[in-house]
Formats: sequence, C-alpha cells, structure tokens
Amino acid sequence: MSALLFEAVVAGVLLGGVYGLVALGLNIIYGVLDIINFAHGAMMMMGMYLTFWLFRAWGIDPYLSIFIAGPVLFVFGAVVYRFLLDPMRGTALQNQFLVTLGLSLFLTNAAQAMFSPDFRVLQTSYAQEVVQIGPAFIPLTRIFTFLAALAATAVLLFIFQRTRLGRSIRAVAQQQDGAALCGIDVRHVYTLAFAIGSACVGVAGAAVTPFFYVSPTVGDVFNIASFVVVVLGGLGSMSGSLLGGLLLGVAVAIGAAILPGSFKEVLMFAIFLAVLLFKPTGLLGSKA
Amino acid sequence: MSSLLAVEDLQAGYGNLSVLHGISFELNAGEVGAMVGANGAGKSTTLRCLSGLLRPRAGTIIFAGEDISNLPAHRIVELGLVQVPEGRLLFPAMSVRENLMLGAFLPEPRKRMSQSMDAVLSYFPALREKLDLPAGSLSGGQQQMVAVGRALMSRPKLLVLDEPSLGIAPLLVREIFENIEKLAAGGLAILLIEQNIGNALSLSQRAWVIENGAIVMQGSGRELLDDPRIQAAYLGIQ
Ligand SMILES: Nc1ncnc2c1ncn2[C@@H]1O[C@H](COP(=O)(O)OP(=O)(O)OP(=O)(O)O)[C@@H](O)[C@H]1O
Ligand SMILES: [Mg+2]
Repeated sequence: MSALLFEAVVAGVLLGGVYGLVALGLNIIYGVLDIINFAHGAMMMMGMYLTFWLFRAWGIDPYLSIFIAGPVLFVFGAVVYRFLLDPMRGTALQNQFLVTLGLSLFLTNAAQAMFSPDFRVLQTSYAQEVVQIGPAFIPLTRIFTFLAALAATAVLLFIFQRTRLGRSIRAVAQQQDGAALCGIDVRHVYTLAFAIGSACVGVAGAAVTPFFYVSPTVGDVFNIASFVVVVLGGLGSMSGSLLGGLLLGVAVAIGAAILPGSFKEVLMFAIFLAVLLFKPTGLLGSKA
Repeated sequence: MSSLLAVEDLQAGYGNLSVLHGISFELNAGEVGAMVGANGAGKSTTLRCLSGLLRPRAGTIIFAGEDISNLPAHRIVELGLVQVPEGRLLFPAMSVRENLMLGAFLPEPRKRMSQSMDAVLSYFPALREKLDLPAGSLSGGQQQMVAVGRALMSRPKLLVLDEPSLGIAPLLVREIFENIEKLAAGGLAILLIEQNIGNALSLSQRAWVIENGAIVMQGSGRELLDDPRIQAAYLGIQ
C-alpha cells in the first residue's frame, strides 16, 4: 500500500469515528421516536459555532467546549422535542419530518443572518502538529477528535446497555405501550432520547472544529454522511453506527485520494444507493 | 368497606367509533372479577382505559381511593394497577431477565427486585432456564408467563389480565390458571378477561357479561356459569 493511500485510510478511520457518533445520535432518535431528524446537521452546526465563538471570545479550547456544547445541545434537543415535536405526536408522521426540516432551514438561515455565510476556521496553537503512524503523518487534532468521538460513543453504549435509564430507553424503542405498563414515563423517555441524540452532534460539532471549517451550511455535509452511515450500519442499530461511520470514513478518504476533485459527495451518494439496492437492511441490521 | 376499583359510567372509543357506552362495575380488594363477552364487545377497550393506555371520553375510574381516569399509564402502575395486555407487549429483543427487571422499574418495586424475581421464578419455573434468551424467541405460552411475571414484578395491588389463554397450548393454559388461582388465594385482587369463560368464571367472585360496549348481565362467577343464557351463548350447552 502506498504511503498516500495508507494516510488516507488512517485519516478516514479517524474522521469515521465522528461520522459514527453523529449517526449514532440520528439512530437513537430514529430508534426511539421513528423520527428522522433532518435538523441533525444544522444542530451540529450550532455546536460548531458555539465552539468557535467560545474560542474566539474567551480562548476556550475546542476540546474543552465538548463539555459545553454537549450539554447545550442536550437542553436544546429537549426543548425542541417538548415544544415542537411532542405536540405533533399522534398526528401523521410526516408532520414531524416537516418540523425537523423547517427547524433545519430556520437554524441555517439564522446562522447566515447572524454570522454571515463566511467560512471560518478555528486555529488552535497545536493545529499544525502531526504524529507519525507508520509511513503516514497524521494531524494531532484528528487523533484527539477521534478519541473524543470514540469516548462519547463508548459512554453512550454503556448507558444504553448497562444502566436503568438505558434499559428504559430501549424498552420504549421496542414496545412503547409495554414500557408504559412497566411504569416508564414514555414522554419523558422521548424527550431524553431526542436530547441525547442532539447532544451527540453537540459533542461531534465541538470535536471537529479544530480541523473543520465552520459555516452556516456545514451541517449538510454531516447530514448526508450520517444518513449514509445509518443506512450502512442498519437503521436503529447502535453498534452498526460506529462500524458504518468507520467504513464511510475510509471509503470517502480513499475516494478522495484516488478520484479527481470533489467526488467525495458523489461517492457518498453512490455508497448510499448501493447499500439501499443490495443490502437495504444495512450491514448489521437484520430486518427493516 | 369501599371498593378497590370503582368504574362509573365509563365511555370510550377510537376516532369516530364509540365503543363503550357507559360501563359501571366494582371490585373489592382480594377479589377475582371476570369480564366475558364476544369478540369486539369492548373488553380490551375497558382495560386500556383502566391502565391509562386509552383516555376515557366520559366517566370516572377510582382506584385505591384515587381518581385515575385521566392519569398517564405510568402513574397508574405506580398506584398498583398493573395490566398484562392483550398481545403481551413484551420487549422481544431483550432477554427474559431484562423484561422481568423492567417490571420492577419504579423505585418501590425496585427495592424488592430480587425477592420478586424469586417469586416469579417459583410461579413459573420454566422461565428459569430461559432468563438469558430474548423474550421474542420463547413460545407463546412462555411469553405469556413472562408477561404475567413482568406484571408481578411491579408489585400490583390489582392485577389485570387480558385474555391470558389466547393462542396458548392447553397444558400451559392450565399452568397459567393454576398460578392465577394461587395468586388470588394469596390475597391479590385480579381482574380477568376471557373468551374461554369456563375457567375464568369458576374462580371469580364477581363476573360481568359485556356486549356491544355495555354490561348486560352480572353476578358471581358461579351464578353466571349456571345461567342457561350464558350456557347457551358461551359454553355451547343447549
Ligand atoms: N385501536 C383501535 N382503533 C380502532 N378501533 C378499535 C381499536 N381497538 C379496538 N377497536 C374496535 O373497538 C371495538 C372493541 O374492541 P376491543 O378490543 O375492546 O374488543 P374485545 O372485547 O377486547 O374483543 P376481543 O375478544 O376480540 O379481544 C371493536 O369493534 C374493535 O374493532
Ligand atoms: Mg380484546
């Protein structure tokens, strides 16, 4: 394997961890609420701007901002669920899709109005440092970000598999009336699930700003990526999110290394369509 | 003594369809009550109102002295009215153990989780070796045992069972009914719905026949069993 390709694979795996976390958030929301949150990327953009401005105003390190952006998006998600989505429950499902789509447009346009459409870059003092892995030179920030995404994913999987809270969320996802009959407050769990899914993009947003530009439409990139990952890993499959994220990261990185120009997005869509055509339940998913 | 459950003029339905047209009945602590009636009569609809899965359109439901007519389902469980629903509504991908643990989700039942688990496994010993299997992989009868077990884990004051024998092998039906009798003998109040009414009526102090969303006959289980109209309509005795 050429050094270039190796570097692409490593970079892909590292960014794939972030895709995995973003997709995990989408999957949690879908798995519990049956809502595809089209505002997922726009909410990630919020996390990115928050991190950017915290750095600009007070010099707060972006990796430290994970602990701010995560909780802020958690609360934002809870409020969005309670006031915009919960009132729609019981009406046609497309109403909830439309609400998230509308929210996405609103957030993007609000960001454009407040911050201008300019691309911004957050420059930390360690932005240029690299680490040698085999023949490849990998930016330190990529590694930090990967570790942060991995840690957040691990914490979430632990919560879901091992805690009472996680068990109650899984119960609602599988059988909502059954859960209510066990004494679980279903509405509360819905709110939590949306909040946790939103916190994922808060964390991811903060974690990518050391090397990813910030702009009002930056969420689109991650929206598309997370839809592809969710389809790759299987809708509703939590472990599939991480695997799908890593796979997409690698595929896109290799594609970018060997294909001309901006074929990245084209490649994402090609993977998306290929999976839908040949393995519509995803790589780990068993049933649709 | 005031009754454990008092339902007064209960009305309910779905969309434009009105199903219950004023149902009233009472059950005391420690009693077994059975509600029988044909398909679509409104039995499950009545139970869904009791457990808070369906909001009544009119009427009141008083349980243990509290008006629960408009409480959400999880609050009603907290008060001790616990339902084993039609179709069981287990968590199919979770292990039997997790299903049972979820029955003890609320703080009070959780304190006594391990005792409850032992009790459930002594009622249904067959579940002991299935604890780590996904609930969805069990037979219908065993799933029904899990469903009853899960409800018992919540430490009910009133156990409500919606057709526990539906679609289950006769041997297991017997086992489930034996356990219902044991629970009743232990002083637990039970409200039971059955189409297979012989079993249900013979162990009930109170029974109601429901037709088209209204109670058309009531009495003790024995009285209804001996009633020629019931025998003709439900037991196939001429
Ligand atoms: N979710 C629903 N939406 C619309 N109509 C419903 C719904 N559930 C039940 N019904 C209707 O309400 C009526 C009463 O149904 P219910 O389930 O209470 O009957 P049941 O007495 O429990 O019958 P079964 O013995 O078949 O379980 C039926 O006509 C049924 O078609
Ligand atoms: Mg029924």
